[in-house]
Amino acid sequence: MTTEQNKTFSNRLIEAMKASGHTASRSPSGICITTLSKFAEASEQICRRYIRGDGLPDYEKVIKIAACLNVSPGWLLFGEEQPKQAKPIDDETMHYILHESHLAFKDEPESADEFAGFVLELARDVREINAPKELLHKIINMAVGSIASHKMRERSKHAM
Amino acid sequence: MDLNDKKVTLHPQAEAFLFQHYRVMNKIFHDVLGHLEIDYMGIALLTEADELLFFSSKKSIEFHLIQHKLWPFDACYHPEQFLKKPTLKWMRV
Repeated sequence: MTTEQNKTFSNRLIEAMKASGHTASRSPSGICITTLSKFAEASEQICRRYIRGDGLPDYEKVIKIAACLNVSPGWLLFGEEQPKQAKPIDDETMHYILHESHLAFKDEPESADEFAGFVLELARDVREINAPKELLHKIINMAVGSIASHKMRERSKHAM
Repeated sequence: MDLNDKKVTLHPQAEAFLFQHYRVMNKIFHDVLGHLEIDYMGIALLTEADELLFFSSKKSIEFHLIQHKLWPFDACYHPEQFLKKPTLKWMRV
């Protein structure tokens, strides 16, 4: 988890604590640390770290806090962003997918449909992955490599 | 089984496994997707050494969980969830 993720967690925790009325006017964060400590079954010192954005509770504590605040643990940890529009796949990556997939399917002219389906599916998956180009190419290579291993498995099945 | 002793770690090849069996796993998932409004399916496997592996119909989900080290925060991958408790609603995961 990054510092920014810790901070956004802290913001949501404070928001949820305030929304459920667990405020304390004297506390710098405006929420009652003692109550949070009871919810999380953790010391007040540790809870102050959560509130400052210096750390995240472990999974069990998130569940406990979320249940007490009547929010979902997923929201508390990650928030609910608007679904992002998938980024378009760039020409170079698409070219790489087509090139590598074509090589893998070239011995099977009868499987044009399968080739098209495979490319479409891989392009969809790759589009949703945020990773550097080198890693994307590695992923494409692994996926395309699975065509050969699938063929071998099929052949050995028929040979038996 | 004593769940307190169970410490799940990520299999060193977890990321590669997501894509190494791409074609065959996609064929299997395609048989299920679309039925009963299922639009996503993931399988988590635990090795004898308590190392976690994934197969998924939407690999970007597990890929990002691995890349950003977020998988320990997902209830699906906690021993007490997958060994003991019944089905959880999506909101509780």
